[in-house]
Amino acid sequence: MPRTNSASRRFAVFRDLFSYKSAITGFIIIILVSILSVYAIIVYPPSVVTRVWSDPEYWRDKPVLALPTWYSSLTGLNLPPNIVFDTREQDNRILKYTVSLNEYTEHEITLTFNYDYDAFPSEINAYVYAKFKTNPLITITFIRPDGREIKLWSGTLNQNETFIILSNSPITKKNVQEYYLNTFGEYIYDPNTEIILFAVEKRGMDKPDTAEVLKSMGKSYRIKIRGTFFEKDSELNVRLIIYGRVWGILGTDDRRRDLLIPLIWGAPVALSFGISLSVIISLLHMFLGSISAWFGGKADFILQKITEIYMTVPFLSVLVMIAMFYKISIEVVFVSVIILSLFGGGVKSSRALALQIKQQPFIEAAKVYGASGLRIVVRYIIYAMAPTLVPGIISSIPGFVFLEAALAYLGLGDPVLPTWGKTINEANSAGALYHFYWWWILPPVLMLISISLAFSLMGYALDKIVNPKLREL
Amino acid sequence: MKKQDARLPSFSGFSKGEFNRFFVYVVKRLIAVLISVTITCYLTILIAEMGGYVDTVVISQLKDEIRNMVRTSPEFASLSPQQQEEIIAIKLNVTIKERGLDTPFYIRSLIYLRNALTLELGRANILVSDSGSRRVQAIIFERLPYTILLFTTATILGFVINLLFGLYLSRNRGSLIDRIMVGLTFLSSIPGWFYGIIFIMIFAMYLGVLPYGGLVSIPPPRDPLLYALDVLKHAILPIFSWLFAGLWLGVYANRNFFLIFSTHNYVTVADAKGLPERRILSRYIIKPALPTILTNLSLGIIGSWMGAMVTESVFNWPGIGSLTYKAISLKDTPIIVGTTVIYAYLLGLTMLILDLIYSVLDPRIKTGLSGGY
Repeated sequence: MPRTNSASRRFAVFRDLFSYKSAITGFIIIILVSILSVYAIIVYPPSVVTRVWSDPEYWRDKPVLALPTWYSSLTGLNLPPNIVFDTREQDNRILKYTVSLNEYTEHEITLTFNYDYDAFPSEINAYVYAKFKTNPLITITFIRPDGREIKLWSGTLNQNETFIILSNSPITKKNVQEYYLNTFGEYIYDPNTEIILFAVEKRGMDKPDTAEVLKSMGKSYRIKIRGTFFEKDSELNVRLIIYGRVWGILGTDDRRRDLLIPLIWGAPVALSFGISLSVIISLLHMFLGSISAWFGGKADFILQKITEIYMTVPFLSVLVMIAMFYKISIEVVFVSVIILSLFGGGVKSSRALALQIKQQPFIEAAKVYGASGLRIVVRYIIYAMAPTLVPGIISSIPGFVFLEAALAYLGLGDPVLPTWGKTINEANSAGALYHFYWWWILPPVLMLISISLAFSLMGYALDKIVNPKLREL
Repeated sequence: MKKQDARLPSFSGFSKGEFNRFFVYVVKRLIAVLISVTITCYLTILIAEMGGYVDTVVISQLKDEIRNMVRTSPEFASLSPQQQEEIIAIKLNVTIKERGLDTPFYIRSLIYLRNALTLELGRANILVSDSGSRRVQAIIFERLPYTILLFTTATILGFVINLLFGLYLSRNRGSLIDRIMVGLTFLSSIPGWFYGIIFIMIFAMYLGVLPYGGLVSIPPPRDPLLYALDVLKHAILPIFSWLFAGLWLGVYANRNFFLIFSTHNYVTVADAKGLPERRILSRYIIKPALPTILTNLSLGIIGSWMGAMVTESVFNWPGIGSLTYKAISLKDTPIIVGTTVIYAYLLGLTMLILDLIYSVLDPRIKTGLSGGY
């Protein structure tokens, strides 16, 4: 019975399956997620992603907690992207002067830009590249369209390559405080420099909810970088970034990382973890259940007792304990889950099924030709049992996907791989729910929802086909 | 009809042979439960103590503490470093003996096991109860009510809703609502804690009508009635997310379960006889299904006492689940073993009691037709 016309039967299963709309939906989602997984592995191979993801240097040019770029067009709000100047490149927003006199060289770089966005930038930072023998003096000044000048930074350079935090530097804060004190006679303790620099001059320009963006309207903002070098042969170049509020397809997190990476990388992790665990554990359950049913007697007794003992073991506590005490890595968790669910409820249901199959004539036939017990179990009982259990295997995939997410949520995720659960955990511990950082937490949540719904839709549809009794119910 | 009646519970008295068989059965079950509790407990101890590795850590910690104490104490300040080292060694030895760390781990783990099984749970290493006690019992029983309030309520509520809804659907098979509910079964593939996050996003973050989590508002209301209402308000989202996650599959399972019972011939006969619906439900459908229903309910309730580690941490709820998690992250072994042993005992006892009830109700056990399975 199990092997007659198997090819045509398989096609029939697919034809039946796709008569269910839910199954088609599920199937499409699974295909899309699989494509995403392949894409993720090709574009960011594991070795690259684990290195890049935990490297703060790599992300320094991205804005902190930026919204997705499409959010601007969706809401009609004109949010600023990153504005980048690099004086090593040809750019008509950049003016460079160099004056040499005797032993001195004076470099002056003027960056000109328009700012017509509806929101304030998030930060201003600069990389200064200079060639010198004696430490030069550098001054960076910010000039607003209304003519106000605020000094952002001044000091001597010690290295050929310096990263300067401009908008949050103590010098900038002090200068902004001075400017506000001189204009309004009030002292601000901790000024939001990015806001005051770009706000219309009025009382309350220091607070995010009362400040208005000073749009350039034809007149432009300027940033002047002046370097005084004490030698003839010198060079000054600047890469200055005015960090925006939007970035990329999915925005960034609090460590400036592109949220697209964990989203696409979560796919292969979730798929491989869920599918392989579900298949391995179900096969083991089938095997143990069939052995229990076929051999009966002592083997049956012992297996059933172990299953009962397993029921009293608190699964998640032990798993968390293992992950926490020994080693938090996805491989350890994987093996522990298999061991911990080895004698789960599946053994009992497989045993019940195997007891029924045991009575079938083809088993009798196998016995007659002299097949060994193990051969009968593997070759015939499991083979006959598998089709009825496939829907269960598919429907149990979401459980394992969410198990990984749950462990990651508890802070026990894989230390190097970015996954959906880990993203939710990081978002949550950064207060994403309280601060409404929806772009951070919503995509992984939606991915988890859609993949689990896809598998369970497929599972239920298959269940109805394989177990026709359900269709009558 | 006659044949079916024989399968219904009979309460006729025991004969002597029957009683003996029953007694042997009970003792067998009791031993089985005790063995499984013991094994679970010992496993937990082994894992939590990392097979004795924790001892090495504890001893080096003690050594550090004692060295610090001796070095900074004015009492020993006049002694030479060598004399100080001697004093440190003596003190360390005394402390190790005092704590019993000189006996090998496998012996101590057995002592530990005995203590755990006799529910002498001892004192926590790090965690302290809100009342300031270090006793493991005090710490656990302080958290238990909160977990019961949340998860036992959710379990019972969910049980009743799923049962009644499932029963209703099984009697109205093929109706619109039935088809909708069956079609939505897949919604249960998302676990409760995850619905928790989704509902927090909807009701706390977006709509702002319910709290994000925690047990009470800060500061808590003074009035006891308002306090209770405040706790209830905080319990709505976690309970709702659990109910929501379990509802779809629960209703579906109950519906199919009752459908199987209502396709029996005796139900058809009862229908044909024109018996009232209520009577058919209570007598011919619910009654034979009762053992399974009881098992599910009691296992669900026991399971709910363990709390739910993830749901409790999503909602920041101070129950057993978050206690276990905290204990694990602080390596506070007495608490981990304590929660496990209490859970294992409760589960074992419940299964034993259920077994006893069934063995009284099920005539097959009395007559020895099948023992246990």
